[in-house]
Formats: sequence, C-alpha cells, structure tokens
Amino acid sequence: MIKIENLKVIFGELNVLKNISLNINKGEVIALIGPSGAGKSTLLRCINFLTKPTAGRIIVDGFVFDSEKYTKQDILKLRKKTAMVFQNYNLLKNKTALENIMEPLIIVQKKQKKEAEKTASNLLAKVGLIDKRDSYPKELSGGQQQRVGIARAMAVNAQVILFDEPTSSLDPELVGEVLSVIKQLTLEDNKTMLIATHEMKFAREVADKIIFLESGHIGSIGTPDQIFQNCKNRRIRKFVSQIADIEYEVGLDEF
Amino acid sequence: MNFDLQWFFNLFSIVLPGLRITLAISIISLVFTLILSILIAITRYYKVWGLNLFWKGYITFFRATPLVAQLFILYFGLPSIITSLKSMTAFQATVIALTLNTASFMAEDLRAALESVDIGQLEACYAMGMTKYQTMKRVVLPQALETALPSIGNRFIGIIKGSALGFTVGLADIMAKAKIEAALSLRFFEAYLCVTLIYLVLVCVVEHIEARVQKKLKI
Ligand SMILES: Nc1ncnc2c1ncn2[C@@H]1O[C@H](COP(=O)(O)OP(=O)(O)OP(=O)(O)O)[C@@H](O)[C@H]1O
Ligand SMILES: [Mg+2]
Repeated sequence: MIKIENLKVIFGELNVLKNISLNINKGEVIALIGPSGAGKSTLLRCINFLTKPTAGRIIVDGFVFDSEKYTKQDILKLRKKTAMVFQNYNLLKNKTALENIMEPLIIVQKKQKKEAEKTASNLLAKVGLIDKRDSYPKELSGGQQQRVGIARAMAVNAQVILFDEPTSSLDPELVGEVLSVIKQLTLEDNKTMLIATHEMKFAREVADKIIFLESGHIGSIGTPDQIFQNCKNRRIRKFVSQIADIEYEVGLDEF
Repeated sequence: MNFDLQWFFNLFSIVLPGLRITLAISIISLVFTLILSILIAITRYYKVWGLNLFWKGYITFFRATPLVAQLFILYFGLPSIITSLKSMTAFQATVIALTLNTASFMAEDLRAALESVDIGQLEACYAMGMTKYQTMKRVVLPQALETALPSIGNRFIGIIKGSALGFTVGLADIMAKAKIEAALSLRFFEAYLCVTLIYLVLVCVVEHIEARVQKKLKI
C-alpha cells in the first residue's frame, strides 16, 4: 500500500531523514516510535507532501510520486490518497464540528451537500460527538477536537491515515478517549494507518508492526513482541523503558 | 448665551439632505476599499514578485501624504496632464481618493491578519487535498477578516469623516450644507455643532453594527 524508496530530507545542514526505504501492506497498522527529533513527524509529513522531500520516491496505492519530478496535480493526487490527524488537531476554526468533516467531502470530493452531511453525521456519531455537531472548535475540549479530527480523516476514505502524535497535546485524562477511538477504528476498518506516538502501551496493543526511528534512519522494525519483549537492541530498550513501564522478559546478554 | 436653539434645530432640516451624499461616498468607498485591500493583502501575503514591490511603493506614498493633497492632485492636478480624466466628477474623485488612501492602511491591517492565521489551519486544508485558492477563500481569508474586523470598523469611521473633504471639491454633503449655512447666517457654532452631532450619530451606528457582527462571529 505504501512504498517508500530512498527518501531523504535535508533542512539546510541538517540530515533529518537519511535514505529511508519502507514497505507497508494494505490494512497494516504501523506505530512509529523513537526519540524526539528522530524524524517521525517529518516522515509522516513527506507522505502527504506537507514537507517537501529532498529526494526519493513515495508510492501510495499504486500512485508513484517522484520527489524530483512532479506537478501540482501530482501533489493533490498524493494528498487525496492520504489523510492526516495532527498533534494540535488543526480543526478549521471558522467551521463547526460537522462542517469540518463535510469540508473535504464537498470541496475536494465534490459530494452533494446532503450526502456529505449524512456521512459527516455518521462519523460524528461513531466518535461519540453527534450532540456537538454544531459546536465550533473552541467550544470543544482537546479530546473532543481530536475525535473530530479523526472523524475528518476517516471521512475522505483515504487509503492511508497518518497520525502525528494524536494525543501529545492532550491533558492526561483526555488521552484515553482518543486512543480508544483510534483503537476502535483499527479493529473496524481495514485501513492502513501510520501512527507516530509516545504511548508505548497503546502502540503495543494496536500495531501490527513497530518502527523505531532514530536520528533519521530506521533503527529497527518488527512486531510489538519483537520490539517490546525480546528486543536485544540496547538503545530501543533504554528508550522504551524511559517513557513506559514495560518490563522486558528477556535480559540483555551483556547484563 | 448667544446660542439660537430654534435655529439650531431648524438647521437639521437643511443639513440632513446632504446625508445622502455623505452615505453614498462612504459606503461606495468602503466597498472599493475592501476589494482593493483584499487584493493587495493577498498578493503581498503570497509575495507575488513585482506586484509586491509596486504595492509597497503605493502604500508608502498614500500613507505618507495627506488625504486632502491626494484629492486635490487627483481632481485638480491630474486632469490638466491626462485629458481623459477631465470628465471625472467631484463625486468620483472623492471616492477614488478615499479608496486609495484608506486601502493603503487597510491592506496592511489585512495582511497582518492573514499572516496571523495559524499555519496548522493551512496544513489541515492542504492535507485534505484542497488547493491554495480554495484554502485562501474558505479558511484563511474568512479567519483573517474576522481578526481584522475591529480595524476595518475603524477604517470605515475614517472614511465617513474623510468624506467631509467632499465639500472642498464642491460636493453637497452634510459638511458642505453646514458650511454654507454657517457662512450665510454667521452662526458658526450652531452649524458646526449640528454637523458634528450628525457625524457622531453616524459613527455610533457603525460601532453598533460592528459590535453586532463581532458578536455573531464570536458566537
Ligand atoms: N521546517 C524545518 N526546518 C528545519 N528543521 C526542521 C524542520 N522541521 C523539522 N526540523 C528538524 O528535523 C528534525 C526532526 O524533526 P521531527 O519533527 O520530524 O522529529 P520528531 O521525531 O517528530 O520529534 P518529536 O517526537 O519531538 O515530535 C528535528 O531536529 C527538527 O529540528
Ligand atoms: Mg513530531
């Protein structure tokens, strides 16, 4: 579903992504973990061209995007294949919860207003916010805003949903409601999801695969068990145990 | 006290017919100012090369010089060089001068408002596949206009007061009517107090409308 070939991102002097290649199958849920500044956000943002890759190819659902040879139309095509859930929700401030979800349906997919409204209402109900359909973002809590953000990402029927730390801006007591909505989606819909997160327990529960990103390259890729249970990589273990109290069952050889 | 109360009240029936001209100048100028300001602000926001430089020069010139000088150059000066401008009426000249003058201020207010829109709002639009134009029209500009509403209100008040300059080029607005009556009767205080009160009421009405729009936007 997603194929990334030799993706490089350089900001000035800084090599943020160093030659990343990656294959993700349809319906897979991938958790992207790693230290701050490792390039998790940058990787996600490249996949829908919010960040311009310096080099490399991104192939989503058969559509080949070559970062050295593309048109404006290619950018729009790539973006229509993906949807994004942002750390800061980024709900459109001048639109209600319902309108936020209808917006891509009407403007991008050219759906009829009635049909868009129906789809949007269904999605709002799904994330438990149908009674907030006419509320503006500033009238919603962070957790509610993010649930609308997730509903909006679901609305466009994109093949791939990218989550960039969907719970990092939330008060601790609101994290749960958002995670459970995402978890619900991973169970119900057969969508390909790429989730950058610092919630290790969540990652372990929902992900089919975990990618550990460190200073711009893929440090390790494996199943949750491989990463969280039997991992021999000292840096991964240190990183994981620092932010979550996950007990490794297997000791390191050096110990 | 040397204040002729009856004459003062009587004046309103003489001055108020000029309100039509004052309002026409103000409202037409506001509409043109808004259109021009949005155009300038957006091209400056996107840093359209060439145009950006041109607007910068325009803004500097019109902000730095008095409105009355701009009006006189436009109405008395330019037609002597450019003969096709000879057919310009005093009304048109006043509207053009007010528009060009006010837009030089309002364009900068609006540009600041555009730039204050959070980048995340644009990213959300782009991520869902909206074009630059759709993003500007549906999200960035509406949010910027809301932010800029108080300063737009202020600029409109400036236009209303600026329309008083119309009398210098021979327009029969409320200011002109008051001035004529003052000169004829030599009762300056009554005449100018009368016209001042009318401006005061006009501006209060504008402020009231602005407050209501603001309340509606803020939900
Ligand atoms: N627009 C930019 N210009 C310059 N440097 C940038 C830009 N965006 C990101 N970077 C740098 O790229 C590196 C990777 O950033 P990125 O946001 O991808 O990290 P991250 O893994 O998402 O970190 P976090 O967990 O803190 O969100 C950082 O060193 C950051 O400073
Ligand atoms: Mg990040």
